[in-house]
Amino acid sequence: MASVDDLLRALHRQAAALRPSAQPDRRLQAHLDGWVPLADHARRVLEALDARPEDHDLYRLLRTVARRAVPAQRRPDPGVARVALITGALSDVILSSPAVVGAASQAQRSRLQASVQAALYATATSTLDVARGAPPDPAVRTINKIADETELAARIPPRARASTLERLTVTRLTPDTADGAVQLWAGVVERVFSNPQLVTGVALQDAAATLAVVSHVAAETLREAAHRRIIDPDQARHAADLAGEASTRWRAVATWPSEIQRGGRAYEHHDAVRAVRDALTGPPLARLPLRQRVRTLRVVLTTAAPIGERQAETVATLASRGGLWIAHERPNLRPPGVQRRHVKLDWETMDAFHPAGRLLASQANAAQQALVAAADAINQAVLPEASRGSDSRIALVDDHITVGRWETIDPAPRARPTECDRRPAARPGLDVRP
Amino acid sequence: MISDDDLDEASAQVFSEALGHIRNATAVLLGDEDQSFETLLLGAAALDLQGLFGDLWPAHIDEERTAAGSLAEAERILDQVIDDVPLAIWAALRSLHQRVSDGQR
Repeated sequence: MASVDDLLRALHRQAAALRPSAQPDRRLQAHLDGWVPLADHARRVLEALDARPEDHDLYRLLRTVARRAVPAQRRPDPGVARVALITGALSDVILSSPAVVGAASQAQRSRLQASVQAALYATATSTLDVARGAPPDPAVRTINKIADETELAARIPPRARASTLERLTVTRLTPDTADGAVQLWAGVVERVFSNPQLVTGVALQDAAATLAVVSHVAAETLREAAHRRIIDPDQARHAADLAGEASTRWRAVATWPSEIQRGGRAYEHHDAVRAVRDALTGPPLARLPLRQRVRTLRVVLTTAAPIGERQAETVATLASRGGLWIAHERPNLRPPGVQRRHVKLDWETMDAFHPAGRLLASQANAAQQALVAAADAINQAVLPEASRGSDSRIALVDDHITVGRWETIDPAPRARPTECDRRPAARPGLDVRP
Repeated sequence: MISDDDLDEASAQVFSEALGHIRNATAVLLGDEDQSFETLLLGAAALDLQGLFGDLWPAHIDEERTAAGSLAEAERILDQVIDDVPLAIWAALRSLHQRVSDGQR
């Protein structure tokens, strides 16, 4: 499982590593060749995040670079090629989730764009560094303009660039991984719970019980992570407490009184929840290192939240529309002198807004709110934020490229160099330190 | 899995009563006072077992028993129609009963 956050970290590490020191053997052509796929991938991801991609100078520049012909026998600079590869993976993740991206606010999309642009900026400055002293090349002018276009984004502190879209993940959709199993379950829930012919009482109880299992495992893992200081202990303990509360509440939702039921078959849902519970209580989760377990459970809990919402909605709908059955005693089946417990009961449709139905619905609603709070808390605890102070220059903090604050910029910057002789390190406040 | 259509009326009644006892055991396990993770998983396993009864209509058994007691009663009832009971139900019921009895719930 890789998340956008993982890919961004790798991207920033790689982009920053391009220019820690001068490497005379780097050739400009190899750098420029590496830019061809990089520009293409970067434009794809930036445009996907942009509500109006057609009128942006940066995209035009990236298209120009991407159109550059590269002879097959030439090998691009391996560092730039790796930046391109990671950017390509990032664009694949973003493009494969149009619904999530579309639902994100413009602010969240802009933040992720800024993170991508920060990596482009670091790569561009590296290429310009290599270009210093090399024969003039028109492509360098374009790279120079790309550096200009992306510089502002690179100067935004990483904390301000943190986007909820960093939670997007590439999940292997198989039941033998915890996150894959829960993703598959989410799909089954959409199909089963939206169809009155398919949804059953056991399926609704099963969903609630499995959400209780998910929340419980998340709570225990977060407590362990806090104890071992894998993530911020205070945030981890807070998230663990909320996940624990969600588990308790979902367990109560799963506990239907035996006098209430809704029959039918839901084999597909039965198989899906079983796969989730097996994954969470067996090797698919247990074999992961603690840090990876925490990250996996963040995805699991985040994916589980819409499942809880669907469960709560379905219970409320059934309870308010006579979709549940309640046991009742047939008066003529209880002769005088026979104890009540020995009398067979019958089933009748539960009236809309019956107190027992209302109780089920309100319990599910409360459990869902607890689950959402737990999912938010684990996202806050696990998602990195480069909040450790600030340096006066560009640095790699928490694997994110960061640039010094405006007020710390060198007050006497040099005149802007030409594209052939400019030295990126001479820019105010620029010094990528791995 | 079993279906209402595969059983005669008498057998269906037996299965319904057994399912009723299993539903009671499920409620006891999930509502267990100690709220342990183990009983949560046992309750989930009891839901799995209910799923094996397919679309059979359960009887409502208005009795207060322990989970182990309800599962034992379900076993006893199903024993009356042993030839009709799918092996998957026997295996799941016996396994669950054993696990619950080990914890004396």
